[in-house]
Amino acid sequence: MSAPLVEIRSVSKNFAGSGPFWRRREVQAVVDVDLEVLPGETVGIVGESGSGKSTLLRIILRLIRPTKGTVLFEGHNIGKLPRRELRAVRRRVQAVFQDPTASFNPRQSIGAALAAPLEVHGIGDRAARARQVAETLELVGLEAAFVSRYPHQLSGGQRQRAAIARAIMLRPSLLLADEPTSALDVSVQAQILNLFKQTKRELGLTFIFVSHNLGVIRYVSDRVAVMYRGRIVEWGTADAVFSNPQHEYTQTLLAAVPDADLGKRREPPPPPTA
Amino acid sequence: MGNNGPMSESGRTHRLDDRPPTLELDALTIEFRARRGVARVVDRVSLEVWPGEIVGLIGESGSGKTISALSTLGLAPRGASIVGGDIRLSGESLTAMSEVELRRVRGDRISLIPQDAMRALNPVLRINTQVGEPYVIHRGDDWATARVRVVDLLGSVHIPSPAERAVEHPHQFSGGMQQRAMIAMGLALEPELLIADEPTTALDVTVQAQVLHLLREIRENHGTAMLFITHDLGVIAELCDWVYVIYAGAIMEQGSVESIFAHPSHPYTEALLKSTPTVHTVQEELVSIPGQIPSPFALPAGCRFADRCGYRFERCATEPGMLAVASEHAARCWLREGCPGGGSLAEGA
Repeated sequence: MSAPLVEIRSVSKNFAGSGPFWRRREVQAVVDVDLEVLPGETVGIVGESGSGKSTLLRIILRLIRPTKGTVLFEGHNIGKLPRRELRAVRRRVQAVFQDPTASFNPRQSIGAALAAPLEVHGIGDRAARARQVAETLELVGLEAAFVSRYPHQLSGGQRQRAAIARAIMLRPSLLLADEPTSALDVSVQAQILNLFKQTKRELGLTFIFVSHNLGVIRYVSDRVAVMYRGRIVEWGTADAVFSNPQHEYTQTLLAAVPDADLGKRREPPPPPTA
Repeated sequence: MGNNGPMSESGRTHRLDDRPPTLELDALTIEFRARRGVARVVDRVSLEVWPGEIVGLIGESGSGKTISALSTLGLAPRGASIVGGDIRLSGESLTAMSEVELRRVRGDRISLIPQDAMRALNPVLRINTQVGEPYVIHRGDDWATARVRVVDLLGSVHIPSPAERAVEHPHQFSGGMQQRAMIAMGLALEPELLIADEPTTALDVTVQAQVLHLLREIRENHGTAMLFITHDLGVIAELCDWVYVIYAGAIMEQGSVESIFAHPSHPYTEALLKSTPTVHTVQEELVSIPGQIPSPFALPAGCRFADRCGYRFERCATEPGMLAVASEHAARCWLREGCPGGGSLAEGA
């Protein structure tokens, strides 16, 4: 078995609570989490609001520091890396967020937004960067003409494609996605989910995919972590977790999902009363 | 499929009495005027909700589902105008009513449960003041009486310790409880019709399951008719008796939930089902619908789904009518022409 790309070792994160100081208590957003992500796999993290799934993702990105515990990327503790090396890690770890409108500068063309990561990391000359932008646009299914468009001229699905394009500009090894399809209609969501799978295949990416949508998690993930109140309560292959959930919370969660499969309808509707 | 004739006007076989539909949209057409031209966002939509029935209206963003519902309450946004058709509540035309008359209908005979309960509730007023308001405004109760009734009402939507919770402010309620409070407010005057606009979209699945259960319970106990607007096929399957699928302002398919999910008969409905990731089955590949919904400023002359449809053929250049698929099921698609059990379904006026 290959060495894990990401290793999370007993990570916890507390946030200061709100309220007057005599009643203020720390909120434990993430409690003692261990997680391993192997190269080339997609790990889905699923949970309801407040379960700590987004906090965990932000810790992996080192946008916030854990209260306790360590995160290893390719065996290096990202909390202890000197600046230069952290920069190298950042180049290989990219993210896509829920709201593509909020993650683009409205006054910057898509072409400029996509070239920005290359400029920041000093890659290539102007012509080479333009080539790579064009190549990446094609990869995510956007026409070359999108280079000169602005975010508001794109539909929600196109914007999310552009966000994915920007995230893979540097050809990262790890891509983190936080609810990337929650703001999209189902037909568009399917396009984006398939695009994730396709880019993963073509670029050999490793994925950490956070969502509250169990169907989405099942579709994209190889292995799944179910989070509840800051802890991972269940961990296993997607098939095992969804077809044979062991933890009571996972069972409750799965039973609560309304499914477009009438065989699963729990009780027949009563006849309308006269 | 024994029924070879055209469908009855409603297609509903389980109608038990001769009351008129609680809600009837009759070829409703709504347009927006803008500098770019006229946008037809709702195009000859006919829809019925019968007493005691939960009817789902499913569509993606921009399909016209919310504006159809808001127009029913006379709450269509500024710039939107009803240019054709009618809206009837138990046989009475709402479009002909004055604002004063409409105000008596809203909250009393029709209630709306909005998507975002937190934003719908006033953060500075106590729950009992808000939930009790309909009693004071519509029934002329005094506030003391209204507040007593609120406690019962909160209990009936399963808010624990209702007497204590009634005097709290909205931010002290969880998301699910806020939505329960909104539902309580909607139920206060036992309306004939409850319109729910994506009431569970902002909720966690476990909370959503509780709210859906509550809505079913309300229908059983009060026989309240409901129009349930959603983009979630799963919720429809779970809750509704009858479904309308709306796309780009037009109803594309309608039928009983059983029939539609067993035999989706419009390519759009079929694609929606195949593009939804499910929890209880393994899917190798989701089918995505290529392209985008057409602009309401430039609707195609023929079938409005044709550009994105894998089954497109010559006939799609003209717009199909509603064609019966089965006795409780019809689709706006030429593929259903000459369907066994099919035939032309007379469209509402």
